[in-house]
Amino acid sequence: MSATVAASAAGIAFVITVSLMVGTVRPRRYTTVSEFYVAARAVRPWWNGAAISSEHTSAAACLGLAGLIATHGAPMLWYPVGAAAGYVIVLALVVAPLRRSGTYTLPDFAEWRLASPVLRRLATCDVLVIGLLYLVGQFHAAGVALRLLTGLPPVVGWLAVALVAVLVALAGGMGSVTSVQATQYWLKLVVFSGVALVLWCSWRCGAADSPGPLEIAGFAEPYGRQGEALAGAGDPSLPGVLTVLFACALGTMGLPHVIVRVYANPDGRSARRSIVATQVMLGAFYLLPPLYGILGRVHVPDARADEVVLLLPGKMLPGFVGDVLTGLLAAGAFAAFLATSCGVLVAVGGAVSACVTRAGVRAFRRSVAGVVVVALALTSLTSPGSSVLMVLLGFSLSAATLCPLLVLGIWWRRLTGPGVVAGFLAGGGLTAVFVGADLLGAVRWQVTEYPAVFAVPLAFAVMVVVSLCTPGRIPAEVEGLMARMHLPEKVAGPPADRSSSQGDRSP
Amino acid sequence: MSVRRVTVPRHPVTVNRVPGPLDLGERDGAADVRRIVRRQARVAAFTLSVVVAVLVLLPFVLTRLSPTGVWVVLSVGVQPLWIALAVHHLWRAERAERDRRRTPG
Repeated sequence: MSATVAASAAGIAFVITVSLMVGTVRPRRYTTVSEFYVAARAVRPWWNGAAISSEHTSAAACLGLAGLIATHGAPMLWYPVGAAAGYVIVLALVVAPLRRSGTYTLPDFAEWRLASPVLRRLATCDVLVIGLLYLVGQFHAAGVALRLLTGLPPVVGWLAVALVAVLVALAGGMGSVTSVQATQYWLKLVVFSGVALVLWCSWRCGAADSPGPLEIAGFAEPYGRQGEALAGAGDPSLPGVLTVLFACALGTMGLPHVIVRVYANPDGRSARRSIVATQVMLGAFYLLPPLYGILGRVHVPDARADEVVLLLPGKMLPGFVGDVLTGLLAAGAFAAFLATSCGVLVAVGGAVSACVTRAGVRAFRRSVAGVVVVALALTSLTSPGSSVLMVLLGFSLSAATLCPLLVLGIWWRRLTGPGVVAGFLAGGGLTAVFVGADLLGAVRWQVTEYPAVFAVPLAFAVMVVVSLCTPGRIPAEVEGLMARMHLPEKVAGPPADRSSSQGDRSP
Repeated sequence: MSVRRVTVPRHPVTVNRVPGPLDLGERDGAADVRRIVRRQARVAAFTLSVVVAVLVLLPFVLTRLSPTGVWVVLSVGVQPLWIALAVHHLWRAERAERDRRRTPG
């Protein structure tokens, strides 16, 4: 076993151990339904901000983005700009009203606001698709990273991430996942910034060298597709960059695993503060991909997008120092895969379980297990593209479906259930048709490469027009619902509860 | 001296809670809510307009910069702007809510 393989295996084992300890060491803390679904609505802003940032800094942000910057140059620097802008829009339009609604998943909000069980099922399907896109992207990235660093088959990487994520999610739902994610954010920030600093200084001081071909376990044979673009992502042309900016800025608010964290705050005020904390932490983290991108452009220009970051230490500082830095990056990368996978599992598992049956711990656990099995099956059936492409496709779908639902549902009292259903079908359908046509190569129109630019305005327009045509379907109590969302808790008073479910009693 | 261990029962929090619409009472509640929504919408609209202005105008500004300048602005220049805008929005939104609480009725 080479020193690089040993260091990488040690780094990965460290992250897995820490995650399992933080997430499962005190499972008796997590016993009630509210702890599983919304962390008992007791997470403080800075802790929640770290968890949201950790979810956001997935394989795409930690590895894929730096790789795209290395391979495509300056246009890719717009991606983090758009993603961070998305949180400002979430803060301005969504956070406080959504938390004050008192709901606990996005499909739950859809049913509460528009009194439509059909809409709840449709929103659950949408959340499931977006979540699976994210999970498949994380699993593939884990397979690529593990194969690259240790030479093990990719399936070991998928299974390692899936197993740890599902154990943490089953142990305590959002309660346990919050602790794991917040811890992993700081781990990722320290690891990626520390390694970047060492590599950058060694390059600028002339200590780094380029000793010829890389001697890392899985680098010799190419694995997966290279150089493709999907839904505008990975396309450095102006329309491609604009499409991704648009999708990122509007899609952030509909990402189920991100927005569900808002429900974990005690009230609307602390939910707003969580997003501001997220903005600060993401601002700090997003300083790193350009650094790795520049280093990758100079030292490993021919590597695949997801591999650039992991290859840098071995290329620049061969020997003991390079091995240690590679091990640290392996730890940081697996922290990224795990944090996002845990968050997506909890969000999707919560939405699906509450839609199929009544919300409960057992139903939650069954849904989480089912979702991870489906995600693993899809991962085995697809080839590993760049993780950032899968994630940005999720952004596009979210922007074309859940974004109009949230914006219009919170700010426009004349929205109706049929309007939202029609908008979902138009926006989501157009995105699916464009992406499918692009992937299959059946239709080669320019527009099919940039779905978000067309699908988002269409979804908004269809929702507005159909809602105006169905005024009789406006919920009778809409003024009260708007008041519940927009009045501060101290003015509105405590919400009127339904009786708590059996599984929700204190032990 | 032995310390007596006290168990504090945790108050149950319902996840199935779906709060109903707020009872606006006898007073002119609906008009009041509309006024509040408009005020919060104005705060949100200002923040959104700044985001849109930055995203639309920045590409034109970047055309006047050198390639190094473009890298520097996009890498380290925009994120502090988003943070400042987020803090400013938080401050304005909370102030609008405090003003509402001082206003009777």
